[in-house]
Amino acid sequence: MLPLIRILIENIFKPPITEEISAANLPEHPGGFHGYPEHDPSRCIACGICQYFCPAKVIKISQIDDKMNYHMDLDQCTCCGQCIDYCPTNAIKHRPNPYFVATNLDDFKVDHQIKLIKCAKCGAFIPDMTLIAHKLFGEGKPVPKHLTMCPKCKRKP
Amino acid sequence: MIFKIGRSKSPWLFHLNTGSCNGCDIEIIALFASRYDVERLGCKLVGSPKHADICLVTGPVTARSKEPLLRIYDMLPNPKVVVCVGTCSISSGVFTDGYSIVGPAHKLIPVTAYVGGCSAHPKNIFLGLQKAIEVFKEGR
Ligand code: SF4
Ligand code: SF4
Repeated sequence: MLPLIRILIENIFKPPITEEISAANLPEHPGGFHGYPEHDPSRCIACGICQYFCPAKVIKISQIDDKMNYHMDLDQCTCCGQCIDYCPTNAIKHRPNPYFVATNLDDFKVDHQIKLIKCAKCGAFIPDMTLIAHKLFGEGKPVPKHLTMCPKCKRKP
Repeated sequence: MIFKIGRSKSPWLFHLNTGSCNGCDIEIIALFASRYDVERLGCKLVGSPKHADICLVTGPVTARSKEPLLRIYDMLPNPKVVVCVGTCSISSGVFTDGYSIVGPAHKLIPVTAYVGGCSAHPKNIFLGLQKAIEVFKEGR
């Protein structure tokens, strides 16, 4: 009986053995975790493949004058990774910090501007295909002529 | 004053499923398991909304669960805080414009914090809870 009372009295003066809880000492997300997609406007060519494959209608691409407006409603994203798998230029990646918390829904919106180039013949705005050409023909090779023209001019003899 | 301290030191949670796929519900259970263990914060999952301070809403609000959602919101004692967990409860996610969906929860009741993700990660639900507890600390 006496040793038990001694332990009980000792316990009153011992500090708690539970760890302090805070965001810093929680376990990390495992590697390869499917988080929200992160879009890199400098690599994007505004081809619209991600918009086509997204099951949740997160991505909306629209043209504003000489630029493409790339809009993402990340509050609807299901983090499936379809856009990441199908992007031809690897412009989208999973975020290192997978999900986030907000008190305002506007924090989930992403807006990016993507520059367009002019068609070599008629001057209509077309996507810049340089990254695709590098992927097809190798880095540093010149971009073939048919990739610098709009679809209409390509069909003309 | 005592109520304010008590509320911020041990907020009790009520978990409300408004038609979710059970993914976020399982993550909330994982939040109370040994790895994340928010009972260290004094949080406790209670069975009745009348005992709760924070309501965790999961799922897009279906037509059937709209009435229970509004009734349970009224049952929560003041001051009450609602935390939306998961993509579905933030914006209906893939169910947007579905025939049986009456809109995300923030259209029907005031929401304090939004926890993103499909399904939401326990770590992020914890961060959302911290935002909710800040509200109690400030005494809003
Ligand atoms: S698939 Fe890639 S390159 Fe095409 S619009 Fe989407 S992000 Fe841009
Ligand atoms: S991860 Fe899936 S849901 Fe999210 S933007 Fe990409 S395709 Fe759409």
